[in-house]
Amino acid sequence: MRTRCRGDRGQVGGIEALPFGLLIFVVGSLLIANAWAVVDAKFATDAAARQAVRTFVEADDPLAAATEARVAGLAAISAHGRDPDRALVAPVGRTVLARCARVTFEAIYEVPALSLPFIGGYGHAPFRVRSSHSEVVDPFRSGLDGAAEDCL
Amino acid sequence: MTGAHHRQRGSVLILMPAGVLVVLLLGAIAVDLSLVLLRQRQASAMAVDVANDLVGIALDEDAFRADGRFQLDPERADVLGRALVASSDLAEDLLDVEVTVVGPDAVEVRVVVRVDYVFAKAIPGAADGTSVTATATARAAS
Repeated sequence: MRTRCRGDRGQVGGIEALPFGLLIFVVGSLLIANAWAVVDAKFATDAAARQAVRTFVEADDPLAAATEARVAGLAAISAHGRDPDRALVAPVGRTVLARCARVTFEAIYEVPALSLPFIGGYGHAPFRVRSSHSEVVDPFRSGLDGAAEDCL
Repeated sequence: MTGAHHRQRGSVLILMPAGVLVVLLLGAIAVDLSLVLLRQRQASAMAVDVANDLVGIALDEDAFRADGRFQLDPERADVLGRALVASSDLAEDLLDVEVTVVGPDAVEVRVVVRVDYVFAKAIPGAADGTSVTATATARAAS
């Protein structure tokens, strides 16, 4: 074999395999990063919804309870290292701070996602990660009008 | 260059794609396991909150009015506990719920929740998911 031909050995492995492998690596990494961003945001929205509900049912002032709950929920988002401007924390349905009332809050966070080549979109960007949480206002708590027997 | 080295030329080209696949596979496993952790935390939070709610609303009112005893009603606790769990975020993935009154003023809630993997589904023969269990006990404060 002449020297020039021997220098071409392995070209098929190099020219086709390396760019293709690199493409798979980049796309695969982005896919995993997207999935992780959604999972991480779900941790934050879960905590935010739960914190908002806890704050609401423990509040003293029925008029300010919803606002305090929203602030607490957004603080939980921020504490998870997420941008509170992208989050929405809101009550679901009619929320009343009354004994035995069921209170539900929902937290939504928009996760920016990349559109990946040849995988398609893996959903529609941005992902809206959503969590909701419910609790019942303690019938025996202090600071609220009415009596516990009204709701038992 | 020795003969042995000469024969190994280009072998890194084969190792690189294999290495890349290993990295991606480990990343996918990490995401799937973090999903299990997420579900475990959700199940635990739900069990705690349902137990906390039940210890207040499942009071046996007749016993309380008869002699002032704080006594939880097991049947009421079971019905209310299942209703609370069924209306939660995890209702679709719920496998089992047990509500047990473990004392006159204490209730235990145990939930089993299914977790669906995201990436493991792509691997033939691998499990599509698993289940997590969370248990919480709440006691009424005097």
